Amino acid sequence: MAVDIKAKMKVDMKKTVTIEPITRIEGHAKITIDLDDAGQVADARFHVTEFRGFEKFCIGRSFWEMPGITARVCGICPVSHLLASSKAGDAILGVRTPAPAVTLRRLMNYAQMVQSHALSFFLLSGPDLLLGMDADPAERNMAGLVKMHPEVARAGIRLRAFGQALIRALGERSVHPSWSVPGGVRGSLSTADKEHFLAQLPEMYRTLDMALDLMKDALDRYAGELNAYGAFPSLFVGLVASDGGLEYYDGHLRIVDGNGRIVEDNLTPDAFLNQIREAEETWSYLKFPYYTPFGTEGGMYRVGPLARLNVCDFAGTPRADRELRQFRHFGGPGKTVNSSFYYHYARLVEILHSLERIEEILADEILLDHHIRSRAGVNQNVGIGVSEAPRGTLFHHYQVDDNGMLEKVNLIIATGQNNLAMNKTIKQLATRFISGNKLDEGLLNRVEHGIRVFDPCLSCSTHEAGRMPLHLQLRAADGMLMDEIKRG
Amino acid sequence: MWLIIGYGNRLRQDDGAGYRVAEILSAQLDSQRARVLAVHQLTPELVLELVAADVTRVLFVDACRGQDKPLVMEKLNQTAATGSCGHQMTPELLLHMTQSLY
Repeated sequence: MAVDIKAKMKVDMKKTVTIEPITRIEGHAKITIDLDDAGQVADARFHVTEFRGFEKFCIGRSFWEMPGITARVCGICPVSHLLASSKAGDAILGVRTPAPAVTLRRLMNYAQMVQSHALSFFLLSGPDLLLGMDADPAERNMAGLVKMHPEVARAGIRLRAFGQALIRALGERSVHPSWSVPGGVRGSLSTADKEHFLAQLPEMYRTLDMALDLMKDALDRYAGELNAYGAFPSLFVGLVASDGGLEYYDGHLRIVDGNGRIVEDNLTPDAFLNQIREAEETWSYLKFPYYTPFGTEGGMYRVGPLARLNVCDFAGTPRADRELRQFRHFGGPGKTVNSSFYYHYARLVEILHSLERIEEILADEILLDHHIRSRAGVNQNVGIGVSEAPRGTLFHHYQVDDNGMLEKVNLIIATGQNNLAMNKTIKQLATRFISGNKLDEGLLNRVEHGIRVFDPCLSCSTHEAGRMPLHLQLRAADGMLMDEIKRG
Repeated sequence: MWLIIGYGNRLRQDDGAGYRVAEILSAQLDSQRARVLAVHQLTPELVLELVAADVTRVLFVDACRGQDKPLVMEKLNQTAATGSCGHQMTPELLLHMTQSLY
């Protein structure tokens, strides 16, 4: 589709491109692109347009309920909220969570990584990567992918099903399980289930081999564009293990800059949160967290798969470490990989790592130990839980009274932490691909893909409801709306 | 065997009617004749349930606004599937994917 912007100006006297809804992401959002008098991109914004307010309506509830309540924030990554909330509850109890329970929680989190990343790569971004950014929009979707690459779609569906089934085996259901609780978990995994999932792993590894080949083909195909998809230095934040390895559940927080230099290390969650401020804008319900010591511009940071691979010293499993070495070639010796397009590649490395960790855990006899829950009352009035969600670092911060009733709730979500970087990414893409008088659907899709690389979950990040359409606007220097495209 | 998939979000009250119907049917129907799933939303991996060798017919149960009658049954056309999809799917797209993949 081509839109004659100059012709539209005569009618609308405005210069704004609007993309709405953004498709193949979770939640509702729009993109606006403002043009200057010369028809060049002056600014681009990613607006999140829905709101839910979990932080407010949870006040007055018991912290015991929070894992079950906050898992309802999202149907895609409920496990992430379940675990972060349980860990905040652990801190309020002030008890040591039994090692078998921690192992089981880790197992569910790895399964979550597999299912969520598989959905993102194969079915949400797959149409762009495999059919092309300029493909007919009527075909550039899940149905088109099924038609053109059925073997890829089949493999992706089975990989996601593997992760979902493992979550279900642990938590009775894959969407909104309420299995993890303050102090531990409610149940273990049967021996029959362990054997069932171990037997499926060879197929899952073969699927990853195929996906990595496809990813590397896509990197070759888009080599000329990679420097437009959010390619800029920023801070990167993520958990790392005590030995510096890739970590999703525990460990400490590390901040690395865009040259690979460690800015801060060995941060506890509360120490990190003390360094973060959440800025707000009137045009979005999504906040803009930044690292306070460096200010709003220099304090922009990214979380998620790309960040995790940039902050860790190594993965800690053989297949993932082999792939991580190749991944790091794209940043150069000792440097971070800075283009957000590599989020796709990082997701695949993380699936591989998660499969290897799942294999290790399923073979671990600790799962035979049935001491999976510690019991206590309120021993601390503040609890912070942190875990790595598929989209990045997730914090649940609760303050309770002596009866465990919540007085304050703060949820800091991965997608929110990427908000500044997402806005900068779409401006970089718009500047590269949009100029003056014509809007081409393929070019707009590239701008949209600039959001999709982050695999944002806006239901989580604003704790809001429903699917997220996208709306792209093109605005003139005087703020007048010039053109817009909506979807959904 | 029939495959019955009831879906919806019970936290949204009426939206969860399909889910609740599936729960009731699951307790009442002979498991040798019908497999009943109560799910939050339709997701791609349900394709693997649809292609099970013993499934001869699929019934989707969902809440819907704007109907003249309380209960409406209609035959779905997989060719009417649209490709637009976020993290949840229409039954038509699920049928379309099943037909195309298997």
